[in-house]
Amino acid sequence: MMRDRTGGMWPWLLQRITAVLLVGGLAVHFTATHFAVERPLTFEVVRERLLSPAWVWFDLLLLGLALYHGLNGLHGVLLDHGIGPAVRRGSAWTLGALGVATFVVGAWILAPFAGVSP
Amino acid sequence: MRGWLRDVFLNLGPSAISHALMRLTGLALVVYLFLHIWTVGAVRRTAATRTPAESFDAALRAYDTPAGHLVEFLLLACVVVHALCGLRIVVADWFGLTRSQRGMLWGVAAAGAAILAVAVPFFLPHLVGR
Repeated sequence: MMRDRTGGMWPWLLQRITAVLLVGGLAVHFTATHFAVERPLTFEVVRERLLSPAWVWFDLLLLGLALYHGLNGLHGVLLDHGIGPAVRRGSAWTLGALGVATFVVGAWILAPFAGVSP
Repeated sequence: MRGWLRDVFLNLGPSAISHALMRLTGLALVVYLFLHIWTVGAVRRTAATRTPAESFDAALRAYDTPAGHLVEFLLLACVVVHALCGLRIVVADWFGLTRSQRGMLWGVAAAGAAILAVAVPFFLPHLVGR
């Protein structure tokens, strides 16, 4: 019998860890896009920041953290409403696939700002 | 959904309100996350007559209206409420402070109100249309 991996300790622990990282990460993201730059925010302003690879990595990390935390949270809500084991496995895979796909699209959207054009 | 609502109302009090706020703001933030990626994605949806930069700038300008800034303020409120309620749970859990959870709830309410009060002056000029 296949073990049900769609609940349990890891998603729970990772939700806590990403939560704490997001509090700090969002504060940095918010400051970098609203206060530490000239306004209004334009493509050029964002591009200037993303010339530095560290900021590209930061934005990618934040994207991944937000997607994991948001979609894992959404899955928690579904579990709360008592979906069965079969649905649970399907919904976990669906949300996981949605997260991975959105991360790839997000990175693709970020590329022009970083001066990369795949 | 109906069962959840019933549970919230049967247990109505600070903790149930915190739980309900956590869930509603969480769902709102997931919606915002996708809207945000879509908006920034304007850089990849460029019409032939425009550069990607112009397309991105126009997408951001579209939100520069009183209604857009009102939504922006609501977004900040959602982030602040979700983050503070969430931190309370993490702190209670990881530092064995479950017994202080009620006191922390009032701390959360006070901190949230203070942060949003500080933010209001930044938003006000935009909300009344400069």
